[in-house]
Amino acid sequence: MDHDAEARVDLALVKRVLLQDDRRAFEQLLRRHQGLVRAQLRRLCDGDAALADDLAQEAFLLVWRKLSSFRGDSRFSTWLFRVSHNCFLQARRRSATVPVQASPADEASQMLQVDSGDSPGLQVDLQRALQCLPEGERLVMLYHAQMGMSHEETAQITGFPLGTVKTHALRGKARMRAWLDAYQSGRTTGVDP
Amino acid sequence: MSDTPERDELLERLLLGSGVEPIANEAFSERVMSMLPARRRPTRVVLGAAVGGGALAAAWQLSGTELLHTAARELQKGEIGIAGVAVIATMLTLGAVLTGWALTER
Repeated sequence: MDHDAEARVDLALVKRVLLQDDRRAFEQLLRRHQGLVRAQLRRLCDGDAALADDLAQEAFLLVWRKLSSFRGDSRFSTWLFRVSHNCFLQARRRSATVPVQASPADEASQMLQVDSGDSPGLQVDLQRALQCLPEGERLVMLYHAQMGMSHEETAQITGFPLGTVKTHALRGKARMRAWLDAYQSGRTTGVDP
Repeated sequence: MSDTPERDELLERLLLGSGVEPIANEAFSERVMSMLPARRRPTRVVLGAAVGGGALAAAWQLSGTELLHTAARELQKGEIGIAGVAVIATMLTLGAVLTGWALTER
């Protein structure tokens, strides 16, 4: 099913929830989207699955209560990612247990060792390199480059202005290109802050 | 490596395939569904019902009293006297009480 068809199905389910108080329709929405929302939150929580699932649960309960505020201006999935992104930000503000972006000093200490260059090692090091990006770039890279969202959707989810999203995407990709060059040439490297 | 399309293509592929894969349900949906509270009715509906209920309750309380008959006579003459004001005040008070109760219970 293409994105437009998926969006139409979501919209029909949302209407059923709102007009008929249909819990089964909400359960379908939940089942359709829980996988990617939990994956998104695991990335944001640096792989902490329990914390990510708690936040995903909080996000879906919030969606249930606030579904009437979904206007249909964007795809339901985009709106949902924004809700879960905000849940993550709120949790980070109220608790020190939620991961915070590494400081520049931390980034410097996370210099990456180049390994054999095989694909699994490359993926692991790529993840570490992404974690070393400045927060704005890291978020934009997550939504735009890793999850395949458009610049506009990334702006809606993160709340960044569209121009900022484009700038972060360009800078983030430039840093990752430089990192990949260094990686492939076999030097020890991190991501330049 | 220089600025090559191959390098960019590799990077795009690595990023898109870098682990943002949907996670299996594993009873997550069931857990969330079991925690869903009852849906709240829209505020407009609650307020409308409370105001209507307050008016009906006031009419019921005052039915058969001289106050209501006096207020009705005043209204027929096209004027609002003390009795009319008292009836309206009673309706508004009961409506406010019901509205407060309804909003608290939501």
